Amino acid sequence: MAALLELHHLAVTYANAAAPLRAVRDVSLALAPGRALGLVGESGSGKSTIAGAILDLLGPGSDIAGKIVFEGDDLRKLAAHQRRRLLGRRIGTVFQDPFTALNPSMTIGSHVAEPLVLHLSLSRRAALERACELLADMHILRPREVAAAYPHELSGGMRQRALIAAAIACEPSLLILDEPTTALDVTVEARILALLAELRHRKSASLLFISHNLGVVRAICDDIAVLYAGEIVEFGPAADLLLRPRHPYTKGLLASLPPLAPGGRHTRLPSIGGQPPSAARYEPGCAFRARCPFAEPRCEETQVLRAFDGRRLRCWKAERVQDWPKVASVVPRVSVMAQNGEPLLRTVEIGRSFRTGSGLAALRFSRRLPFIRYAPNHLVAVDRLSLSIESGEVLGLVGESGSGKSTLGRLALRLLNRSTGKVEFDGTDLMELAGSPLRRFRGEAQIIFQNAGSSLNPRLSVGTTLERPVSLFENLGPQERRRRVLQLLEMVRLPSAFRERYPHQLSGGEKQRVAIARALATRPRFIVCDEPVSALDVSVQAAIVNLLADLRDEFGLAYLFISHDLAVVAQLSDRIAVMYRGNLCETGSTADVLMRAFHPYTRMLLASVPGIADKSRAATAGAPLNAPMHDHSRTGCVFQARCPHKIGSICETTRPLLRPLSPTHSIACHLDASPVQ
Amino acid sequence: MADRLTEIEEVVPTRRRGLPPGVILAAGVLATIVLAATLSRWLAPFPADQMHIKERLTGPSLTYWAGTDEYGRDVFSRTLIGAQLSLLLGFVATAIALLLAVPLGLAAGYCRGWVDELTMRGLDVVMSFPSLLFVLLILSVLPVSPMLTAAAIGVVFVPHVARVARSVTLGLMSDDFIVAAHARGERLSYILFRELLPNLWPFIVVEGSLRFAFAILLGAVLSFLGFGVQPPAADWGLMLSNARDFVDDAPWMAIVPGIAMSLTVIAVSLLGEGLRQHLDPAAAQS
Repeated sequence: MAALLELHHLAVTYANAAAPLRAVRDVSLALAPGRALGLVGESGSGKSTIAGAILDLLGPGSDIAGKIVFEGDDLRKLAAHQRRRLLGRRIGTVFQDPFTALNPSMTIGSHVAEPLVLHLSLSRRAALERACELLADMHILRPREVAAAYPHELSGGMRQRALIAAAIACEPSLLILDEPTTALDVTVEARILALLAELRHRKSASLLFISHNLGVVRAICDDIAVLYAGEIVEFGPAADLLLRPRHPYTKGLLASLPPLAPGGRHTRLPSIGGQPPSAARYEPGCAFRARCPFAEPRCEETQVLRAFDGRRLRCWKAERVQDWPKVASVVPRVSVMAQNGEPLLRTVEIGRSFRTGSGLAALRFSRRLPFIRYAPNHLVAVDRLSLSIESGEVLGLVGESGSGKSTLGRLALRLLNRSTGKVEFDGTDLMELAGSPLRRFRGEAQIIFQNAGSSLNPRLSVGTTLERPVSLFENLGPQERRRRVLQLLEMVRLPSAFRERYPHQLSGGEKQRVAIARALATRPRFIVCDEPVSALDVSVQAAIVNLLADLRDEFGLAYLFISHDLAVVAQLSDRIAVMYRGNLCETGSTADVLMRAFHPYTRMLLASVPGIADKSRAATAGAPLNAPMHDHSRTGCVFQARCPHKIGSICETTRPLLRPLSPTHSIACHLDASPVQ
Repeated sequence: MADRLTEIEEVVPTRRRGLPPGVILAAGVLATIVLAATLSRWLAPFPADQMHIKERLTGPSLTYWAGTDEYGRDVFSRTLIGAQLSLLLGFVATAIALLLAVPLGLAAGYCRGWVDELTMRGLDVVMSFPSLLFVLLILSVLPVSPMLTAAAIGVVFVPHVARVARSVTLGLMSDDFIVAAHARGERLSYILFRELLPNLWPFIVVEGSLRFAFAILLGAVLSFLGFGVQPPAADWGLMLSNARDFVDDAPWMAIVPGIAMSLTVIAVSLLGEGLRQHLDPAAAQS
């Protein structure tokens, strides 16, 4: 069968002041009708550039070479208007960020109807009618109401469904999906993936699915192409490629994925050292050789993509490559945990609400005196929540976006003032601290952020950034201070020359290392890690997780480790707390929560994680496709509206309290311990 | 390790590299103008108010390089000497605007809440008057003096500059490095002046160079209306306003001070933009 889409030696070069950036170097691909191809790679591997080249979105400053053949036509030879006619008609696209991809001044219905009017010349009325059918196809309840709604009225998952509806409105033969679930929560992601899998079979469209997430690709695609530094390094059937990777890079990538299992203090993740080569510097030979543990002199020769064992591989020694080196288990130092039973940090019924719509919007008029009253709405971010962290212990905090995880982290550091309850550090209420005890607390409790880019001041060099907390908390001379900065850099495994660098000269992983060093500079005992690896690529993420584990053991640090990624949390945590809408659902040892999860929400989260090993998992995750994703119930269990195991009116009227199942394991749920399977 | 270090040395560009040629040119032009203004008393062929009644409105010649005005005063000499007042006006007005506006903007953006509301609504009131009208309002109750004119112009520019400073500060406040500074218990002054202010510099420099140009132009308008520099003193604005009546017969009266003014404004703008790029560690790399 002739291929629907073929790329012949596609190369894309971006003009750049210093040296041209070779984003895509030589990519040849063929996508047969009805197949789904996954394009996998880390940031900078060129995967989105390929989509941009197919869709003609790269703009001036980019130089495209090679052929892009779609349905027999070389797209690059078509006139602009002919090419435009294909987009939306024969080629549908869905982009990463559903929050910016919709025009805020257009209703959802007109977004979906627009391609129908433009390409199929339907009347406005007929197109809107069809749009409602399409929305219903996306398992959207009440499609008419949704069609009349504006984007800001919908959740991210709903918007992404609307975008998918618009993309398939004209029944295109090719659907390009560029990280369609990356901006979404894992439970929402699972449902979007299930929807896409279903659509594929119903509409028989071909899919080009771009993602950095191997599990997500596994759930959808037949074939996978792994990109590295603008080249395909491995291509093959999805299941086989992920189970038996052949190329060293694929092996490394899969090995660095944290498994959804308790990590424990002895294990570290395998990781890929170094960084991908800069697109500005071209060197012949294997692009991966600098980071490859199996590299030999022959790797400096130009590597060609060759067929082997049902795959295509860009590695001359693929037959002989062993498994990615395992990491030797470490012997943890005697931990400082639980010496006296007094927790390091304890929150007691801590609560925080935010005013929404304050100012003039909060004024309410009434008939009685004084006729006007100031009544802003309140959003409860953290709802009377109690938990504790021992000295030297890592508590993982998981939950979807908006569950109040970050707010809790800021409350624990007194970066936000509480509304109710209290936070105790070393047995003292944080709000009672002032003067030098407060200063001491600031040194002992630190924070690391998700976005390493914004966590460093772009105008300060790494040395200045690290020196400031040192001089703030220790009375050292300039020589000693300098030595301490070098010591800090060494702790986070950065060379001393980094002192002179500025944040923009660092990669994402390096910035995060500097941010960690800055947190360590005050010699803390407790660090709030607020999604510290969520913005990093898999191979870099593994290295940072390992670093955090090493530092935890070396200095007996306690972490409040906040993340939406259960696997990462499992890797580092001694205990895990699951949070939903400001409340704790379940807490327990890492093994309790992962292996003996009880709360329906925890089970939904676990089921939603797309796995590498089996494909079925994501498709059957959690609740049915059309169950509501949000609930705003004020009484009863916060999770009742989404709960697949709701038992009855007690869930609607009574808020379940945290009750112990075992000495280490507690849940907040009305269900008996037995019925949930 | 050793080879890794040497590679890093090679990659890291030296931050203090030479200034771009455009900036050097602009700085050179500006320095020449300032120097000429300072030394104008000795450089100018004639005193500013010396009249040559017999040679009124004569075109450029070897004696009068830029011609003479309606009283027979040498236009070139007056342009040179007038530079003093014009430049002084620009610098003083810009300095006053920045000194008042940047702290206001920082405070409003940092504190938010009622401080922000109060500051910004107050500045809105000032901004709701046309600039010219507001300067006239101030000057009508003050004695006429070039310094007070400059100060009044500076005050009128405060809302514009403060708004820019505030919005940049607001953007920075959501950055995590500010949260990190709070987390290690930094003092307010450190956060304002060491963390925030350096990130405001590029905007201050650009805004400052724009305001400098606007101040000279507004000063010219004020002189034109009789509120700025009073005749017979020389000032570019005043010279332009006088030239208006003779623009058909003696265009040089307008052209020469006009060129001087444009040159200054362009040089200051180029210098500001160049400095902004030079001060930005990220842009310095490319």
